[in-house]
Amino acid sequence: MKKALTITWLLLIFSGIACIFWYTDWKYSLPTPVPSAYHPVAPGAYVDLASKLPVARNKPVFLHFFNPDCPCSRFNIPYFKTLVRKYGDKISFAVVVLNNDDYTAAQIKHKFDLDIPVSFDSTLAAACGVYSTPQAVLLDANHRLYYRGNYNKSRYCTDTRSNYAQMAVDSLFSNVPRPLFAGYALKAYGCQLPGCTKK
Amino acid sequence: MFSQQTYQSLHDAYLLQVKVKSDRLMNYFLAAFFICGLLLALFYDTWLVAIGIGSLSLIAYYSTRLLLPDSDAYQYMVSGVFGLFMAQFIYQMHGLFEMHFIAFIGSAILITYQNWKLQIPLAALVIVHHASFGYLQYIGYDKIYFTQLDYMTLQTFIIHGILATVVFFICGLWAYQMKLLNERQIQQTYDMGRYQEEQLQRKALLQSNEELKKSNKELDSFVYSVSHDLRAPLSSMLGVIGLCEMREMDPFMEKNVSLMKSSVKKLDGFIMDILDYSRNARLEMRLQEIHFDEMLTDIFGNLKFMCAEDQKKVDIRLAVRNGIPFYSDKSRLSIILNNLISNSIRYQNPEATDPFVEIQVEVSETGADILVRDNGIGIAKENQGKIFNMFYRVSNRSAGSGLGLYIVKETVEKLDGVIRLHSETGKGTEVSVRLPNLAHSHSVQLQSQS
Amino acid sequence: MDYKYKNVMVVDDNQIDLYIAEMVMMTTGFAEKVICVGSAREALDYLQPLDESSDKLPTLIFLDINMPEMTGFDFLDEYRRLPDNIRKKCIIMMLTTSLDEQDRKQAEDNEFVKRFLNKPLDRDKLAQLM
Repeated sequence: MKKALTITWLLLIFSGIACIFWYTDWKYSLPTPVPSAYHPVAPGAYVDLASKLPVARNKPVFLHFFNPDCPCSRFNIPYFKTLVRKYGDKISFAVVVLNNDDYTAAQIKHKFDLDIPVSFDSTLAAACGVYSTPQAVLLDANHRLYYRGNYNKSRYCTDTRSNYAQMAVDSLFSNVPRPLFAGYALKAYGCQLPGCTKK
Repeated sequence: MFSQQTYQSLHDAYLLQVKVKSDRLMNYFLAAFFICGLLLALFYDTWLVAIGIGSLSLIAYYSTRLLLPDSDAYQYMVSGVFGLFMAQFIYQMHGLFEMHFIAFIGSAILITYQNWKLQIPLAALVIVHHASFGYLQYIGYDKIYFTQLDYMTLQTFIIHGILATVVFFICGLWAYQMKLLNERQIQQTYDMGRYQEEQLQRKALLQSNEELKKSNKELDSFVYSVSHDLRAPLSSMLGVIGLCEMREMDPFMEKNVSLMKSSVKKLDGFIMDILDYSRNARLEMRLQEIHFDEMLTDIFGNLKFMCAEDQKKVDIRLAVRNGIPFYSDKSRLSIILNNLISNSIRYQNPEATDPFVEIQVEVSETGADILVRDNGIGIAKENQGKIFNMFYRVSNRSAGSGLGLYIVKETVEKLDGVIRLHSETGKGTEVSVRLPNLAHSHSVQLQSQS
Repeated sequence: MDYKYKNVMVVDDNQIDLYIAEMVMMTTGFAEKVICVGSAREALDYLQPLDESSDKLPTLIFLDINMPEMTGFDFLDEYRRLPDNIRKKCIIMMLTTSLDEQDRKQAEDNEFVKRFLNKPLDRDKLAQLM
């Protein structure tokens, strides 16, 4: 009798555990909800950076939208660093911090251990059509939007098979026509921007 | 007392010790795992997973422990819980492959229970989990929503599987070896304890044996001294009575003196019987070769003057067939013969023309058959069963103490022999005694003395 | 009366036994003179000064075994130390109620003891010695 009771109870607990795993994973796989006042920005659009970031003209720009409080952003840091190391000479990399708390540029640079420009201008997000972090925005040499999307497939960036950002960079430099990215690349995953309301 | 602790109970006590200690360690380890989970949650805000799965795992473990305290099911639960924590940590760190080491840490921790079977839930969880989800990924099933798994090739999976199994196997092996080692130690401790106890017992036995021998000797000594002191005045009385008899007395005096004499003799005989009885009971056996001719001659020498005045002289016939050395206790044997022969003389038939007592002895390698036959007054059938009882006398006219045949029987039994009596009133009595030849014991005794 | 022996000594701590011995010996003409002593010490004291006068020495000595202070065997140990004259003349008989085999053996082993007799002394026993 007691044995049957114990087994039932344990099965209950295990299903609870399974549920938690399942639930969180499902949540992670959901895309970020699109904010109510969202204006989509199409690829090819010109993004004016002049006043906002000290980047060179006629050079592709890679904007990394980053929120220190977002776990996925934090997870992304090493990967972003590898990108910078790889393409730092060909592309200007910059970090756009989207966060309500006061972080200094020095702190951000320290987090990344990189000496790249840091901006706190949240209008850039709207300009690029970014509504979650982390997001990669690649501007070609004319500062036109080449790619805006996820770094990879899943929300919490654990699936490295699909390095969309990398692919975008590669295709930019290989002069092939801009590839069409699948939904997973373009459908933004990650944390919502602070201050945004859900739809 | 040690003997009450069987090997089983020693073993159980040890197992309990292992269990209690290991359980306590588990409390600490599981707490540490849970806290790790919380710390890991700081990285990527995986609080739901950390608190939810962590506490559910702990609940599963402790509830099993509480609900089934007598079984070791909860130990298997720990194994599974380690697997769960590993999954949890990997999940929390979003696929940090290094967290797989948690499984090996868990495997090593489980050694403390000294039960190799505990490795199984952990191994099963890890391998089945990887295999099933690997397979699902392989067939392209995307929507698992369960776990974050790196894609791995079959080859990678097999290598990982084999190496992991090796680790689990070795941990199980050490657990098993530890158990064996400790079992051996318990066995040794138990055997040592038993041996020591046996030694003590043996010592105590030897001691009590020695004490018994000593007290027997003392008692016999005492009886001897007492009997001696009792007999001294009796012999004086007999001497004085003898003096009286040397003079002419009137019939009245003569009769009285005669009565006194027989009373004194009776008392003397009784004292000697008691001494014989005590010696038979208390003294140790002293084996030597028996020469029947010699012994019987001595006995007859002593009994020569035994006849009462109104009795005829009894003819004594000997038929001793020797040849093979016969070993037994000389003094006890002479007590037997003395008693039987003196009975025959004492209870002679007054109507018989030639009263005799015939002694036949036949010696063989296995023993001696002794026959004492007389044509005395015999013993009635209804009394023959009681004749060997202590203090039993056929009638109040019997001259003996009633101890004689009782002592004979006791002595025969002490020598490991058998005694039988055939008798018919008016015809005579035949007592046959069969005694084993204690030649073997004698040689053993000699050996132990040398 | 024709006496068998001139002088005979009886050593016994029991007065009655001494009396019996004396009476039997005198009545049966076994001895002319019976010297009765109540202890082994007295016996030795009697014998010692008679070193020179051998005709006063007893021919037979009847010796009891169980006596206080000095037993019969103790007497024999002392007797060994007496001068040769005395020892050659006297023959010793052990007299006792003892049933102990060991006593008997010890007596028979002793070079000075001629016989081992059981008490009480009577005519028949003395007859054996004559």
